[in-house]
Amino acid sequence: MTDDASIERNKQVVEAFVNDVAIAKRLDRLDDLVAVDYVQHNPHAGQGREGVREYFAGFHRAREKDLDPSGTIEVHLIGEGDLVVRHEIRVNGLHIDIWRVRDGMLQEHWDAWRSAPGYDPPAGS
Amino acid sequence: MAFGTGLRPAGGLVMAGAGPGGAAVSEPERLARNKRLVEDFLAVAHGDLAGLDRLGEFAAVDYMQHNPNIGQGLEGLRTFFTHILSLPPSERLDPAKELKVHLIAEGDFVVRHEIREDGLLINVFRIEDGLVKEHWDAFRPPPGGAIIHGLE
Repeated sequence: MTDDASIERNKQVVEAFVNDVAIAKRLDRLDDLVAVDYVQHNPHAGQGREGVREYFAGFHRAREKDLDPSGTIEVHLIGEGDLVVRHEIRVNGLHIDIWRVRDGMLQEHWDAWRSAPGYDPPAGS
Repeated sequence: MAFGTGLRPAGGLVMAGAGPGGAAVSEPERLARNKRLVEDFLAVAHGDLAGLDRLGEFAAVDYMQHNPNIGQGLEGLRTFFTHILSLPPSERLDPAKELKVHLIAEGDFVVRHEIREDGLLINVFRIEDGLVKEHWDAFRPPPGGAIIHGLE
């Protein structure tokens, strides 16, 4: 059974990735946070650490407006074992990410989106 | 922007509340109970029409629903699952296409992560006073795939 300290460490890795990479676009942080063989289940992003790099350097820019932090209402991080869920309630919808975290690095990622009624899903969601 | 974190126990064996007979419940046991509550709730919801009379054993009367296809409260659940049970199998989630399910529990939340051949379904439940109190869900269809009825 995972102890609370390791769940907290896993959440910190997720928060660092979201803050530094997803929001601040500090792609230099990828080497510290994302495993080189990162398994990606979002079909719009490539595999591995390089897939994440390309996603945030290019394609993701098209969705920036839809996922801008100013639209965040509430975030819950829910962790158990080696999984961390990021449950983000936004003005334009619901964004749920799930990461597998091991040895301080993100190893695997799933996500899903529900648009708020009347809002078109972001391209590539 | 501040990130909220789910409620988290302060340490290993936190006495998180009283169980039946007044015995203290450890946090791991409380989380295990929350997971069983969600599993039992879903088994009844996807069971048979007679079983839907038991939904109130698992869900609060004022259940808060964030899936716009489902009405609010226990009555919203009953109406929705009665409708689902009336559909032909081709319009329902096919149990045979379920590949893997993870239940992730912390604080008052249970997340059900269901990996399927026909998509990814994530349900988030908030538990309050031993009942499921609030629900969110999101679905990712497979590339080029359709959104399953009720998960739009």
